[in-house]
Formats: sequence, structure tokens, C-alpha cells
Amino acid sequence: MSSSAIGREQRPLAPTLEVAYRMHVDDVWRLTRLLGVDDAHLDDVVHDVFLVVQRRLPDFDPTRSLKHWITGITRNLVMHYRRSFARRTKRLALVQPAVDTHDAPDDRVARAEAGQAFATFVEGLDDAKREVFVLFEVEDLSARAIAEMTGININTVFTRLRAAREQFERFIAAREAV
Amino acid sequence: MKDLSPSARTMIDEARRSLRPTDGDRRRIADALARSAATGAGPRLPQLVDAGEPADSAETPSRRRTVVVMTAVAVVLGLAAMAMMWWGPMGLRVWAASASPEDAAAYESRSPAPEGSAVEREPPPTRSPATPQVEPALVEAEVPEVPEVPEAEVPTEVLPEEPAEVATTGSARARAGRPSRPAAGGLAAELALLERARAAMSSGRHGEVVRLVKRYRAAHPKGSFSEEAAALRVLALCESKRQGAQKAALAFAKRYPASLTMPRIRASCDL
Repeated sequence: MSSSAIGREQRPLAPTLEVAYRMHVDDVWRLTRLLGVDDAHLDDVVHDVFLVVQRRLPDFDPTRSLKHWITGITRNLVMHYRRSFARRTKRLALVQPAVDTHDAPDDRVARAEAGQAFATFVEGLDDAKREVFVLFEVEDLSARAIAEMTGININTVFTRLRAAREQFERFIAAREAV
Repeated sequence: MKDLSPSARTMIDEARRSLRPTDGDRRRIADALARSAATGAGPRLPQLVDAGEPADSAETPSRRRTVVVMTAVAVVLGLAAMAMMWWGPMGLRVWAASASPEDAAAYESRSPAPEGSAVEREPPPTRSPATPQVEPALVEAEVPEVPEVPEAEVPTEVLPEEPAEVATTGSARARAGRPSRPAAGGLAAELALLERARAAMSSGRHGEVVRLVKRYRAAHPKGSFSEEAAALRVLALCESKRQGAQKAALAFAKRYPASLTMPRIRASCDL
């Protein structure tokens, strides 16, 4: 019996993995990239996000926001990735050529310049500010939701957001001045 | 807190729209997921799989295995279908329509916003208007399997209303809050039927699968998911040991030799 059939009368309709994937793969990919996963591991982390989604879907509360839920999973996986792999990858990068990132050159060129510039700015933020800035400004999470997700104080969320915004404004001004 | 300047806001909006995976990215990930689901393989980054789990997760290994088995069929077929959608111009059109941002808008609109969003955001966001709380407008998979209803009775309000002409990111379009346009092409009805068949398949109701595929073919003789429907039918026939199953499987293999469901069909039908 399908687990989704349980309690269908009482509960809102639950999404399937396929629906979750279709709706949110772009969001997961973008968030994964902006939170600092290098191109060589981007596919793998996104893949793993949806494996976790698949495994946890039976426990998903359909009265909650699916996007918020997947964003939390993505954020946790990215943080774990960064702890586990980033240092090693940086070391490897010193001695190895860049890993093929799969994309044809044309695809990469085709990505909009504004997106690339924004990604460059975000990469330059420190980890703490980057997380808050991306979750708030790009993923539209509330400050309270970010505080809950990351376990940091809501005032700290606002402090980091304010600092990141100021940096971003300076970045924009410098760009426009060129 | 001081709000972002218009040019800063514009750049974020543009970044949100442009930072997205290519079709090749999506296809690779969908393929990998389909393989993982089919083989029960673990994560591609082995240390990561539990990172998304809450520390107090009550999930047991046996439950996890059960969940994986129960969803494997749906996942393989679903992701195979998605992968197919990304191949070729027709596939792209189907993707754009079937995975339209309105899906996301519809789902999100029936779900509560993340706690406190739009209330405590500071300053008041101008780009994320509150989404109207409307009835579910998605999740074809959950259209009740029984009793069966004719296509005409599939409630139109549960179907995505707007095919996307461009596959922009769901969230961006959802945030834009564009008004819906009338449905076009009956793609949502197709998907609804197919999802019902898939649900029946994953529940082992093979007879129902065959009936639903028959209805699908009658209602959508040139349907966008003919291959997936055929695959479901063949699997249902084979797994229920019905007469003519192998013949149907051979016919499927001949017609769709590159189908992503072929490994499963070969296994189920002893090809």
C-alpha cells in the first residue's frame, strides 16, 4: 500500500519525489551553488539532496512549505559537504587542474552575466554572511525561519544580513562606476 | 533596516532567473537519481547522506529499506520520464509545460509560507507578495485511485492551469504572481492519468494499471507520455504474469529500444 494513501482524507495532498524534483531542482541547484559548492561536486550534492528528500518524503508534513523543507535539507547537506570536502578540494586544487565541469563552453558563456557577477559577489562573502544573505535575499526565507534553520539568534541573522547588504551595495556601486 | 537599492534588487532577480542548471545538468542528475533508485545505490558523496536528517530521526533501517522499495518503481519511472522529457525539442516543450512554474506556485500557494515570512521580513519585501490560499492545484499523483472517474470528472481545479512558454525557475515565476491562463493541451489531464497508473503500479494493482493505460490511450492517442504509459502497461502485464506479457514487452523493446525503463522491463519480463 502506498504510504501516500495513508490518511488521504484528513491530510493535505503530499508531493511525490518526482513533483518535488520538478518543482525544486532549479532552486536546489542554485542554492547549492551559491552556498559555495564547487562545480565539480554540484551534481553530486544536488543528487544527494533528492536522495534525502526521497527518503524523508513519507515524514514530510504537507501542511508545511515544501520549498522551505527542501531548502533546509539542501542547506544541511551543503554545510556537511563544506565541512567534509571543501578543505580537501582546496588542497587538491593547488596541485591538480580544474575538474571538468561537464558543461560545454557555450553553456557556461550563455549564463547571464548578472548571475555570474552575483555568484562572484556571494563567493566573496564570508561563510556566515553568505548563508544568511542567500537564504534571505535569494530564497526568500524569513529571518525567523533562517534563525530556526541555522540555529543562530535572530538578531545575529539581521546583523549579518545588514552587513552583507552593505557589502552588496558597495559591490553594485563599484560595478556601475566602471 | 535599509532596503536594497533598485539596482541591487534587480541584480538579485536576474541572478535568480539566470542561475539555474542547464538541460544537461538536469538530465545528468535525473539519470543518476533514476540509477540510484533502481539499484538502491547510496549517495554519490557517501558521507553526506545523513547530513539532512534530524539528529533525533526515528527512522529505522528497515523502514528506510521499505520506503526505498516502495518508491523505487515510481521513482524509476518518474525520473525516466523526466529524463526523456529533456531529450529533444518535444521533450523540452513537454518539460516546460508539465513542470511549469505554476506547479510550484500552486503547491506553494496551498502550503503555508515559511514561518513568519512576509510578516517579519525587514523591510517589507516588495518582490514576494503573499500568495493566495487557494485549493490544491497540483499533485496529480494523489488523485484518488478508486473509485475510478471518467476524465471529464477530473476536477479542473486540481490541474496546473498554465503551460509555461519558457522554463524559467519556478520560484521566480511564482513570486511574480502572474495570473493564470486557461489550460492548454490537456497535458495536466495526461499527467493525472499517468500518475494514477503509476500509483496503481506501485501498489501492485496491475489490473488497474492496464485499465488506466487503456483509458490514457483512448483519451490521448497522441499523448506526450505514450512511452511511459506503454512501459507501465508492459510492467503490469509481466508482473501479473498475464498472457501475452512477453509479446508486449518485445513490442515495447522494439519500439522504444532506448527507453530508460528497459532494464526493469527486461528483468520483469525475462527478456
